[in-house]
Amino acid sequence: MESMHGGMMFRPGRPIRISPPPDVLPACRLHIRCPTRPEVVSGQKVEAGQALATPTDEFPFTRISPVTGTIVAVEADHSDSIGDDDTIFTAPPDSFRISIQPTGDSMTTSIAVAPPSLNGLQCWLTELSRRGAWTDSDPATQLPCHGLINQLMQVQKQRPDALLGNGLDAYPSVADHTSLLMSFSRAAVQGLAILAEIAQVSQPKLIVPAGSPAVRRLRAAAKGTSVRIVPVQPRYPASSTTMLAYMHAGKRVPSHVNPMDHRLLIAQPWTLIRIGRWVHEGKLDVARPLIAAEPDTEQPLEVHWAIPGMPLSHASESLGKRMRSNDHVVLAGHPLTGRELNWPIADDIGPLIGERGLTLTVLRNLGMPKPEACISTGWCVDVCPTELQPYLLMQKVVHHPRRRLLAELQWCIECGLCSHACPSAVDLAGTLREAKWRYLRQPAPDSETT
Amino acid sequence: MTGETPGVTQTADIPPPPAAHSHFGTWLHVVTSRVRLDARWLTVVATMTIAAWVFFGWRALLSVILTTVGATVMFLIIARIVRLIRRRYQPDPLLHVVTVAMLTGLCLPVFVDQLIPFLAGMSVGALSHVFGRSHRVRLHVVALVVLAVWFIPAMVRGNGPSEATRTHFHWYTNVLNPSHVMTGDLAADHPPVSRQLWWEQITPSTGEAAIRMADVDALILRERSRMIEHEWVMVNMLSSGELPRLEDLLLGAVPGPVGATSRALMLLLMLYLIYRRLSRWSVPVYAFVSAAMTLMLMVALFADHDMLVITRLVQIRPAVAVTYVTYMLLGTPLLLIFGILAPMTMPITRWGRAVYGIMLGTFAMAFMWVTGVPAAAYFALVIVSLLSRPLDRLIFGRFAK
Repeated sequence: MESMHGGMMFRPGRPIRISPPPDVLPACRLHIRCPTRPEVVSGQKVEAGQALATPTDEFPFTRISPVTGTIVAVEADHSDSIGDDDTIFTAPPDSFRISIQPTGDSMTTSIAVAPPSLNGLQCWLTELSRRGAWTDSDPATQLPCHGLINQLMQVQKQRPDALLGNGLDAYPSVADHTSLLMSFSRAAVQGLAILAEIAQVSQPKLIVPAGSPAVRRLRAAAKGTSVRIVPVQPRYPASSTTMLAYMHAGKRVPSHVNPMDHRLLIAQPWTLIRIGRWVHEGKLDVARPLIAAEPDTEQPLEVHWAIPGMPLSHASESLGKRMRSNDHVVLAGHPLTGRELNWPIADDIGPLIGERGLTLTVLRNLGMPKPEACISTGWCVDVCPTELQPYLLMQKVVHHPRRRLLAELQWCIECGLCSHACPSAVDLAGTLREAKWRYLRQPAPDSETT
Repeated sequence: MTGETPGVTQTADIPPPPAAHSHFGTWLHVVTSRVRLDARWLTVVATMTIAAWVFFGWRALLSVILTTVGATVMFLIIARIVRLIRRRYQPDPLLHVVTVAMLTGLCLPVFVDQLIPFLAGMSVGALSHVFGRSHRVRLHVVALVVLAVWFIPAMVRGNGPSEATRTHFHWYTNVLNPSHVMTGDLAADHPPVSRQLWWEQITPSTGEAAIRMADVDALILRERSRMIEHEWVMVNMLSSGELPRLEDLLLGAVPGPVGATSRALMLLLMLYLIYRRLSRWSVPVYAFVSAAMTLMLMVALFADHDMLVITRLVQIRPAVAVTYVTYMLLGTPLLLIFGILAPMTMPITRWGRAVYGIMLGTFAMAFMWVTGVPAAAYFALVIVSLLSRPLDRLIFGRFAK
């Protein structure tokens, strides 16, 4: 196992027991975003699990209606910029928005559909694609290419060398992944074993934080299976794809690429649990957990069950209130990399629950220091897990914007530690991140100058 | 996947990053603020100032204060002038300049004429606008000013470094009175020797509260070859009290830079800086190891032949050899330079710091050995501080190779 350079230890959070999702949730209007023109029209009745739009190359899964109800609106969605995205975590640009009014006063949180048989990758891939998104992906980057379907499509071309279950919390002070694993340990292990069977990996590993109460439960659940529980020190950002791949498979995988390009399959806890529960209970969860935390306080985690497309304020009234208050900031994600959720963004609906991302962070009493000049403490270099020199890299980005710096920038995993460590409060993480994505979106020149 | 670099996706249709950052890189407060970091440095120099006051009396304290005042006045005047031309000019914080100025005062001996530390301070104040820690060119201001204080008189006279060697040894002949070690003061009851330039005047040797004691580092470097040529030389120097005992070196009853009189305090402060991550262990460790190795490779000039130091050390008694090496490392200003001064301009990368430490140790020992002047070690610091940023640019991490 490779060692991790830099990183930072944070006070570990306490995992909590999460009850299984309720059978029904109170009904509310759902707003589903589709990457392509929908196959349904306004006024049409839809069943739970019915296709709303067909897959595309970029989003290789069917958009389904999570509930039975009536389509009340289908309209083009122009909120395509990064910051104005009103869906928690992501939605494709140039998409459509479908509003569905559920039938009755409640919505079922699962759809009754039998899981595929255990043998056959193609069979699973087809069935997974038909059942909506499996994009509970890398907690650090939340990129679509890390989704289960995207990875399994690559498995068709080449077998993975390793399969890793990412049981490390994205931000150690918020025990989101460990809470899920502790509460659904059997389902998680079962899900990983199923994936290993599909991808023909002999010994899948479930990476969990050492010392967590989840370890004992997972070990008990993994007895007699091929799954290996690997406890590791929960040093931030050990849970990012790049660090997982490097430390547990010895592979160098940039955070923005599909891990299967490097023959590595990585699955997140809710994906594993969902597969495990699907096989075990015969019905597929459409509701997903949403974990809210106040990392600076001793407040326990708040867990809500929500259906994608649901307004956040409906999933949690208290979160909606805090989002609108001036004393609080609600972030999608954790405090090192999260994005502020604004209210209201569009049509007074507010932020919607998407498919990606488990955690919401509530922060208060923010008073950020003003950035000053770098004083060369070198702390940004010390904490950088991929051994970049964030300040020097930022200087290159700022002073030589025409240079292609992807060979270095691709290794920025956007963990935010450089900004957190910088005593001059220089916005290193934000600048590098912006530059990285600007370069990635640019057409490649004939030869890259670094 | 195209292109030569594995993993670089070079297509134009990559979706935008979904979890966009806000106005700021992170929502967590920074680990340590810059003010707190400056305050920690100030704690270090304040402790050294107290030690200087305890061991050298009010004159040492006054010297440090004057250096600080000189630096502050000059710094503020220049800042005001520059702001008239460039309105958005942001100089280093005053707290940092004060720290650097105090450190400069602590690297100087006690002078009779307090104008010298004041002028040194003014130089620091002016240079801080050119070689501040936020500037592109990193240069150790303290080392540069200390060098200037030592070498300008020799250069003015036109006698070159050999004059500095002679005067360096001569100047320090008296600093402390053993009976006043803890509360002592220096009495300047004799006028300075007329042949000295005005900035060379220091406390004369016949002062009531002064001890006739040679400056340890100058003495060690003057006798560097003789001490191993004949084993009895060092034994005699120790028994006669000419060379202070090791415990005196550690405690602080020896002349030299007023802030570095106590080696034990230097070690403690060095550890504090490492603990607070203002320094890194690699710099002093690599510097001391390379200084010791360089020492071994130096050529000792004996009366009738020359010999490598290591060859001679193998021949003499181990106790004498170990004592010699210890004095060469602890008796000279290396601890002050490696432990306290060097971190101010060290590179930001791990390997850069290692190379920096190795170069610093090698150059400092080589320069001191060749010239016989303790201040030559500061010259090594000036050189390697200039190489600090280029070193960082040469080094890449495991991923971005």
